[in-house]
Amino acid sequence: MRIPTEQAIAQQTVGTTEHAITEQAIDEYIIAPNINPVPEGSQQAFVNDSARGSTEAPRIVIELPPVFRKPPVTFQPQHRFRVLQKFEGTVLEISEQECRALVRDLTSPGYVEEVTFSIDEISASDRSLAVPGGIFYWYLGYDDHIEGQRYRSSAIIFRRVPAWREKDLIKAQKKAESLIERLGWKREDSSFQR
Amino acid sequence: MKTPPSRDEIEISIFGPGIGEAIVIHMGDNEWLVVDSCIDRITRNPITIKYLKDLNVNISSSVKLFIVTHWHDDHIRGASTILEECEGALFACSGAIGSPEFIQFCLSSRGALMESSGLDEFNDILEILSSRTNDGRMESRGPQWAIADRKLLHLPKKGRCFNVEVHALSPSDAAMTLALREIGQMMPKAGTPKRRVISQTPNHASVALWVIIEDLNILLGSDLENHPPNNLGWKAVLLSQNRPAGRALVVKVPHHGSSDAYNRAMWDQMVFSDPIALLTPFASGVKPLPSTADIGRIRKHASRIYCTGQPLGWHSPRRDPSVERTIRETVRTRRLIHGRMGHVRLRFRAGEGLKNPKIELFEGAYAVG
Amino acid sequence: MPKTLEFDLASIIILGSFNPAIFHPIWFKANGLIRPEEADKAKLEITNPMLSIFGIEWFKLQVETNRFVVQTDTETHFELLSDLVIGTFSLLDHTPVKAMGLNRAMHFKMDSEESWNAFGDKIAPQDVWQGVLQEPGLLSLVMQGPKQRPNQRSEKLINVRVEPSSRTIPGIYIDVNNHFEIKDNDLQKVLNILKESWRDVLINSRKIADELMKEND
Repeated sequence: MRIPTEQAIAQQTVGTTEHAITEQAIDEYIIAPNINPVPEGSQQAFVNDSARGSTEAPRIVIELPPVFRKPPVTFQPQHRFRVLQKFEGTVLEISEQECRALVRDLTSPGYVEEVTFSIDEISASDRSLAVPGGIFYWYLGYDDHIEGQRYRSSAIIFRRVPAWREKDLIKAQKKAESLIERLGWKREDSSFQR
Repeated sequence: MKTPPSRDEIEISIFGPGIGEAIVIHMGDNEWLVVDSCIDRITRNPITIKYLKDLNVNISSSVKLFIVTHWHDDHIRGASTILEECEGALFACSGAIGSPEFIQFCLSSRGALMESSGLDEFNDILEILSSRTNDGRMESRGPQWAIADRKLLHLPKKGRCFNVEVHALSPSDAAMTLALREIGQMMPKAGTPKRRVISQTPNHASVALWVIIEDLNILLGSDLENHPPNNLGWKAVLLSQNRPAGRALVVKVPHHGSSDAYNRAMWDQMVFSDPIALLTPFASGVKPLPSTADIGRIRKHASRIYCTGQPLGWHSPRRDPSVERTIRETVRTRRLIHGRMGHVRLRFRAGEGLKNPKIELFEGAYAVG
Repeated sequence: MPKTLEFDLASIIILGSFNPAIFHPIWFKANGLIRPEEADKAKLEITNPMLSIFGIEWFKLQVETNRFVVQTDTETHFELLSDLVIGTFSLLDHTPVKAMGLNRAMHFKMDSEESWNAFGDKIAPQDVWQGVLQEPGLLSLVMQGPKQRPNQRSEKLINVRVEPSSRTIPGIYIDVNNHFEIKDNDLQKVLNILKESWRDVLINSRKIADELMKEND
């Protein structure tokens, strides 16, 4: 398998952290959680190999050497946010106190609203993303906690994408040049010709 | 609404839902001009396509020219669909859009997850143009670069009801230079976070158009604004030695009637006294347009003013009461900006002169009193 | 309502060639794909060239050499799951890929054992099995569309799995797998599918589940 450049670099970084675990050092690990745990003694536990090519949600135990024996861990959420309304927002303007944004209704598509809200509605760790052009999701609904308490809730979460890379910009530039040539567009001085 | 114009009837239809605008013009002989694009909120399709299909127009052959006056979201949403369906149409767009800088800007945003719908549309337009090149269909289809003083279309009267010409009044050379500089500034830089592109104002790349259909002149002001230098905006248009002569009877008021786009000399020199003024609202921004002051300014030049919709006062959809309560608790201000699609339609019958067009208002459109 | 959605899990699975050692919270943090606090609090199970598993508050990631799996049960992060995968593979843009699954697994609690049994009888009629098995009961049912024929493999198909839920009793588990075959290791196609289809997949998966359970309302 060819290791891509980025992966090779990341691999070096990972190898030097305290979290790096070599095979020899492993005592145990948590097997992937079974989403729908198989009933004890069920034949379903022995899934044939053809399922390994499946892209269905994982529900099989990974078969590895006996040293890896810990039982599967299932999700046990402490709370569950029941979403009643979703928006996608774009920040238009931001000040120290306030954010002005365009929000597009994802629950009833076709409606677009312009809103302003306090900057305090944005998590501290997302504040750096709250700049003009930054995109967020805004969810409204009920937050039901495991102990039975329900809270009416609003959550603004900013979308995260990797920063621009030099190679992506160079690729776009080359593609632009090739496209312009293919389309036969030429510009001389300030007038356009075809 | 669904009765098509007759062969010798000129139609000007303008659509605007609060963000975005589009114009269709019947130039006679079932030949149409489409300018810009906006989408119908319910169907999510370009409103002009729906309208023309409702009139039983064969859009693949009857649309002769499709112009995108600039790349901002509100003028281009759905444009790639129009281009794809109007296979026989010549495509024209602002000269600034064909620049390597803008193409690179578009392509770099493709797949970035943060592209604006305007750039997204333009990427789709590039793909369509590219595939038409591969099919050998490009030569007669454009794009025609719209720059100041260029004639984009001429349909001579021979065999037709009317002589038709479409001229670009802008952007000027200086505006092109400024537009390209702005695009350069918007170009992403390595290491910087990806953001959605917010439409910039002023829009120096904007294409104002002069449409001549026999004796009728139509001025489509797009978003062209007024700037101090003589080589920009409306001043550059007025000073041009090469722009078509004559005065317009119908004006699409530039930039939603904003004070930034108002040029008195434009009204005095290029437009008849008491023309028909058409407007679309712009409900976003700190100041929705047109304001009362904007209307007052236009009233000095026209008594017949029609707008496709109010910039304010639309209602949000009915939502769960707890959702509405939470929204009210979270936001400080709130305004719906994409409302009902309004439509103003003018029809001029040949032989009846240009004095008494039939004026129809649909959906949210209204006569500014 | 005769049923309530008790547990809802969205997952994205990509089959291809991966180096699991890369998929570490620090890498995601360094590339701005997760919040710094999320990375710092990540629960790292294992990371080595064969297998990497870690979880943060809202997703769990598991990567083997030929399989990438990320999943969340937090509805407010369903859309963000797609962003995470797009962001990851925008960076790892030479990753060979051969298939992708966009999945939504739902556990519905039924209002009574009676309606639970009625659903089972509807989806897998008992009378067919009465003469064959003693007290037959539905264990698992998988339907696929479109039907796959020899030498005619669809590039896109949907598998729907229906089982009694082991998470909520009496309950029904419905798992909708939207499977995409990817030719020529075309990673860009994977990213395009995610960008254009993820939201629709989530909506349609829920519609499928609602449709199957409709007559029980």
